[in-house]
Amino acid sequence: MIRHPRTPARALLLGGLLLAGSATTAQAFEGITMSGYLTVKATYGANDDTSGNQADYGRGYATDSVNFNTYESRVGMQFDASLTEHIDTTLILLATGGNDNFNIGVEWAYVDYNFDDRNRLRIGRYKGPFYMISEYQEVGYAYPWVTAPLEVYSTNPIRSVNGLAYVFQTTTASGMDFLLEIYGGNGSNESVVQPNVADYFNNDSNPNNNIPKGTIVEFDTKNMIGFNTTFGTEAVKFRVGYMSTKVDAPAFGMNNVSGSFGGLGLIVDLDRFLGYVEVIDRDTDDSAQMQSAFPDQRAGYATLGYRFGDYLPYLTVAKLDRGKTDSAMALRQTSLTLGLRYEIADGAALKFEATRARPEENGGAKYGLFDAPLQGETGTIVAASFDLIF
Amino acid sequence: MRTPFSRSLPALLLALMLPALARAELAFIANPENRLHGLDLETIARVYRGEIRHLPNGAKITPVDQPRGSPLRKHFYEKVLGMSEKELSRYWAKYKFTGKRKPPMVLSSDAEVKRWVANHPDAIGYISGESLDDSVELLQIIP
Repeated sequence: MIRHPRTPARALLLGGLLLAGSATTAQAFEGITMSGYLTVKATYGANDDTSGNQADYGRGYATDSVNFNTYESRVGMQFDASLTEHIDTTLILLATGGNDNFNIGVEWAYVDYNFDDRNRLRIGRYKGPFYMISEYQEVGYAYPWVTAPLEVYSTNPIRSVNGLAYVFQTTTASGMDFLLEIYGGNGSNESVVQPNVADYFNNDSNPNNNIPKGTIVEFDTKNMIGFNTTFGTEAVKFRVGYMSTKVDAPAFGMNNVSGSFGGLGLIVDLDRFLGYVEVIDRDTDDSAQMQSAFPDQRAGYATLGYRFGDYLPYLTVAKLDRGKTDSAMALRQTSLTLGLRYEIADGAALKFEATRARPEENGGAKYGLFDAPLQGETGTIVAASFDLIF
Repeated sequence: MRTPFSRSLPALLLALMLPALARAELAFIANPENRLHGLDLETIARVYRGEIRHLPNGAKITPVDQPRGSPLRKHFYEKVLGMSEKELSRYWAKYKFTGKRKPPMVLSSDAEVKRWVANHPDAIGYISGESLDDSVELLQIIP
């Protein structure tokens, strides 16, 4: 069954238009501006596990039916208003697909106090700059891929921060940018239990431990503190970031366990040539319990692309591996992705990509990002998206 | 404090430029109260990229834009920022939705840009040379 997010998108647009009181793109309503983004994505991956059953990929990302209605399809609407010379407010409504429902909600809402053009204090609920493109991961149009490499981006299920951020940002007349963001707060999140963790508990002798695959675990982050810095030009920009947090996950009996996410990145965007490189390190509490439920991981990817007019073919190599603590539950895989982005029009792109993922052995089984060990050495996943900003 | 001379200067300049304006495609305008004479194109580019919202002298400056796809907008961004509209969209996709930079507010026509600039002392904008009148102050002509 193919589902398009058309009706919710239209309802949301209508709501937004009523709010903004205007019928065309990014229009002004005496100081309120409205803008937004849309991604319609289809994914497919028919791969057999060792018992001949379908092995899904990326915890629901791709299955053996063409899937339009994952959390990957979404519509976002952003409303910006300047209240005074120093105070800006932002509200972002996000509708995401998932199972049979489209979930619509106020995803982010914050107030910026601008001391001047360089110094700003942000208060509210905002997207955390955990990895290089985390802050605009929902805006598919902003990056080359159909999906940001899952080896890296699936390792952090934290979406938002409720708290404060201090942002220092400056650009010299010659085009050198420097940004430093120091942030802290807490949040409520959810994560799908790792398939190998679910299998491990389902196969042990205690039936009380059973966790169905696909179980969503709610967890709270608290005492989150981190920084994100970028420097360079629009053509070559480096990124360094680190965040540490305490986590409560009552379903797992976890209280006040620690986790941190660090990363380095580089984006090269010349006239024709495009390159992305990023490495991350997830370091969680050393306890056996945490290392079995949410183990240390290291991951990275490199993307190279070249623009031929409106066409951007690209290639991504990615790797997910054990982290600092050598946990048997860490996921390991390498992948190669070939993709093509086509600019249909200003603000609209069509993208295709095919990924060959090769799970690697850890703890006696090869899961990689699949939900069961594969029959063959590799699995193939294809995906396409239509991305729009307005 | 405005002197009679400063008030008449823009009119004088405008009169001198009229022959050029007939051919000019794009006129960069400001509110007459906003004394931005000599605002250079590099600063204008930085304002339109959202890098600065104040001038070095502390004055607030708020850019307004023409609609996406309009020939004037294409001309302005190619000439002053060296960006195509598609490059511009990719640029704002990265910055706008993270709240790191704010894009200019988009108005729908020359008349609206002119009205906005005339009514907001901190505003700057651009219109076609033919739409220019004395409700706004001419800063630059971009051929």
